[in-house]
Amino acid sequence: MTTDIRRLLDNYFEGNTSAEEEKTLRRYFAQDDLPEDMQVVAPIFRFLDDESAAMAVLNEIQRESPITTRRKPLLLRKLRTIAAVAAALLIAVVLLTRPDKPFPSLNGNYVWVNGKRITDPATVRKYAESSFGKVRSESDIIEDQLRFILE
Amino acid sequence: MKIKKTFPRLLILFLLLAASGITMQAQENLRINSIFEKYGKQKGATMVVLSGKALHNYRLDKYRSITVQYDKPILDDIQQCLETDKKQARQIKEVISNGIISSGYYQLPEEENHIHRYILFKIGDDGTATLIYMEGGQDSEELINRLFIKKE
Repeated sequence: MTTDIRRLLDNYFEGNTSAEEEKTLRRYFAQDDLPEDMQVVAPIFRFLDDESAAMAVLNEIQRESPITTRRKPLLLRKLRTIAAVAAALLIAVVLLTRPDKPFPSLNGNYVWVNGKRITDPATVRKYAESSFGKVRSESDIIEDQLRFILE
Repeated sequence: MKIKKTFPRLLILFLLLAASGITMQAQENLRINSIFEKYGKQKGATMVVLSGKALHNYRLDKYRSITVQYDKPILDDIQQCLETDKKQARQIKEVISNGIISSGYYQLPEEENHIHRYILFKIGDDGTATLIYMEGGQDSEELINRLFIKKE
């Protein structure tokens, strides 16, 4: 047995051992009472044995509980998309079709005359009075009409 | 659990947006606004804009007027705007001569906060046409009526 082990050991260090032969070596070196000259290399195979066992356990754990990525339910994602699109469309429609407030850009006191803007208060007032005077009726329309008919 | 919270929130947001849109659409829009915007700064036109303290004595909040030289396209435009806007007027005093409005006084329905609105228009003997828009409080109606008709 020991001769076989020594032969296997030589092959191991030359890189010529199979997986089964390496397993045999690990099993052998897992024993407590080893010849003195074998105890020197024992830690290598004990480490490998430990690592092999650890890897086996890890693989077992991974097989039992696979990692899954949680995805949001399809319905919720669709609803969110629809709501976002609808809200964006509504905002666009409102912005494009909203009626202008009367004279949104006409605030303050000024007069535009032949394309020139004047802000002098006295001048503005003068033009305002003039414009209102232009629309005033000279007399009561109904009175005029009745007077005409009854003449 | 997240589904139950998120969807109602989105729905509420959507409904709020819809409600604000409907509210905005309900505001009245006057066609004569386009006359001021299009012709107010042109050569040959005089546009007056008043607001605030300048109008206190007249119980008004806003005053806009435009006077243009007689020009058929512009006058046709004004006539069309008046025909549209007067449909919502609650009081009309109008003179139509040869098929066109030669003078008009239109009181529009009150807006929120009791804002009275008026449109005045006249084609003068001097070959000009004047269009006026005014807004004022409750006191403005009597004053405007008195000012509009000159008493001897």
